[in-house]
Amino acid sequence: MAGLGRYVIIRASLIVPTVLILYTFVFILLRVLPGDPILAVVGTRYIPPAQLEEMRRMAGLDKPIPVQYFDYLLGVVLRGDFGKTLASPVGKPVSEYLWERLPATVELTIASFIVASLIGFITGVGGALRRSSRLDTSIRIYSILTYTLFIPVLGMGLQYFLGLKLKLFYISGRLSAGIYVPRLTGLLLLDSLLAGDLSAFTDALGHIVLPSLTLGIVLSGAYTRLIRNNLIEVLNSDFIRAYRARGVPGHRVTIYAIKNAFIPVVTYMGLQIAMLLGGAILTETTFSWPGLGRFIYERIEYRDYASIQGAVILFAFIVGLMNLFVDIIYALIDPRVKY
Amino acid sequence: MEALVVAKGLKKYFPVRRTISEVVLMKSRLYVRAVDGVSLEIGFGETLALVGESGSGKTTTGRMLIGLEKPTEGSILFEGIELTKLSKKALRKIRPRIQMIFQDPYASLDPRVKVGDQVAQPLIVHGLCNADEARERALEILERVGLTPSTEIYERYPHQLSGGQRQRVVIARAMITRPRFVVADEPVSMIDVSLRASILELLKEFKRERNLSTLFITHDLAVAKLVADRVAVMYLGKIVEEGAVEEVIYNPLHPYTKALISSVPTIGIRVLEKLKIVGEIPNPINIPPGCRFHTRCPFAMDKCKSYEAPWIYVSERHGVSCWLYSAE
Ligand SMILES: Nc1ncnc2c1ncn2[C@@H]1O[C@H](COP(=O)(O)OP(=O)(O)OP(=O)(O)O)[C@@H](O)[C@H]1O
Ligand SMILES: [Mg+2]
Repeated sequence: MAGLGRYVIIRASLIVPTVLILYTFVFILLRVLPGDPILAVVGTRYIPPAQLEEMRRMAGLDKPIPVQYFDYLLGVVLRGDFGKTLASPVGKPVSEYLWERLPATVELTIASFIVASLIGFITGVGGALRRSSRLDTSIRIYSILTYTLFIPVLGMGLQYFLGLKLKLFYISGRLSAGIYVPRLTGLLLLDSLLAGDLSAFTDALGHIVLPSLTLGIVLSGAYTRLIRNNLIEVLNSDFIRAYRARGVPGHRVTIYAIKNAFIPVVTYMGLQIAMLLGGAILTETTFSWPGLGRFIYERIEYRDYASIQGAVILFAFIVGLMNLFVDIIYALIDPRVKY
Repeated sequence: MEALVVAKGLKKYFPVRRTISEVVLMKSRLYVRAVDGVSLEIGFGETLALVGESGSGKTTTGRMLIGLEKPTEGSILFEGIELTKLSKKALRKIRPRIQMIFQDPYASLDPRVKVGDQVAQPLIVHGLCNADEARERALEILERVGLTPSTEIYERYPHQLSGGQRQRVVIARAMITRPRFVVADEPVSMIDVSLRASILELLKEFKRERNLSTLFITHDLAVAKLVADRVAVMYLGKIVEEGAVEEVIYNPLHPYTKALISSVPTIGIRVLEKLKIVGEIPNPINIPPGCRFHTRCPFAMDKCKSYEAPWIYVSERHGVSCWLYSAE
């Protein structure tokens, strides 16, 4: 299993460029966008220019931009220091916020991933097995439509019908007022179960359904296409034909095919992270979900560089870890993956 | 004596897949006429080579003969049983006696299943023996096809074998149920040239030992000459010439056959006239009217453009479909 260790290290090192690219992108974007963090804090109050300069200097914004870029990066990498907030409240360590907000996003991302894979699996397999039927055509149209769906619109639609009209689920937040779950992992579904508190668990579940459904549906189209196309290709391959020629019953051939149709798509990692991040910001905002995405959204108003950069780096890193985890599982079950 | 396999008037038309926008715009379906009226017979212990350019419909014909693809039209008799009318269940009962060897040894083995289990599987699926016996028989046949030590090979996954070894596994898998009829679809075209002869020799041994009937698909007439008793030449979904292998190779009649032969330098026969045909094989969605070869034929006459040539026997064992040989 020494080989597996190497495989993990190689795969893990792929996270580095992904995080770097996202950090660089956001760093540049923040500086190109109109607006200035100090002025955003000050608002319409009058502050003497000398004091403004002093605030600028304290926040490190007087340094040349490349220095700012590396200062922040090295702070994170070497000291785990994500900087201090620039806006109300000023000067709090960003890491405190991140630590508080991270579990909500992890929980939402995992739940959305599960929703997306379930929908993707069912529609992808259904479309591939009934290729070119009316069902398949509808599924293909669905997968294209998901790309055009705008999360706030879909989210509000679900809030309206499933939340307000049918009163099936909560439409905002993570927990109802008055319910308390002791923090172990910060994932409420898990923590409430560990605490043996079933009513807190159902309450948390009732809150996560709509946001994860929203984000899950939007992400599912990509999975539908991927699984459908992979499965069609596998179903059309000679070894599947060979199973049929040997007289293996149809449903078992289908199972062999499905097992082969799940090839990890590592190359999409960077893209996927960017998509997830965008999705999380919109979903968390729509559902008042107190995670990293909503944190970024709140902080954009203040041009709070340190907070936004920190949240993006952490987000990219966490999603990279999740991808790594999935990859390792694949490596363990697929005899072809050489490590 | 009746032949083991008798196919009459086989046709296979594939609907062309439409894109979403075409479905929405309700464009009408087109059809690929992959096989367009093929009749052939394969006797007991006989090897018939099916040759032709890429896209002529050889693979599709082979798949129909082993019941992997349902013909659009036509009949297939195997041991006197009409395959096209069988239920799925009845067809499955016959499967052990009809097998296929595929072209690409990298694609025809499940990458996630041990090769030994893949070889043993047909026995278990058909309830021919229990798991232990199946394993024993799989080890035996692996040994027989030259994969030793078989106990070690049995445990390997396909990606741990070379192309030649894989093709031996595929052959072992096809032979383990002692089939009467095998379709071998270009079994050596993707294998290293240095290994081809030994694989062909292996197939010939099985043929001799077991009186096996084979449809041997190839685009290489030199290979056909090596393994086949008879040759059928296929062009754009139809057989244009058929006969004993020496007859067809040393005395080709159809202009298409002549062109095929003059394009094989290694075949080592004197070609009376070097014949080159021009252009690409036409799209099987739009098959030319009349004789389908007339668009590329240097001898095309007026009637070739409107009328299909009849089947003409020039000798007892040699037939051709070409107006050049018609008295009319
Ligand atoms: N499942 C299918 N759907 C649509 N068209 C098909 C299908 N299978 C084959 N065809 C088409 O039918 C024609 C004949 O294909 P086939 O594979 O039988 O030819 P071939 O003689 O075996 O060619 P090759 O030498 O390349 O293997 C080709 O034009 C091919 O594109
Ligand atoms: Mg072929």
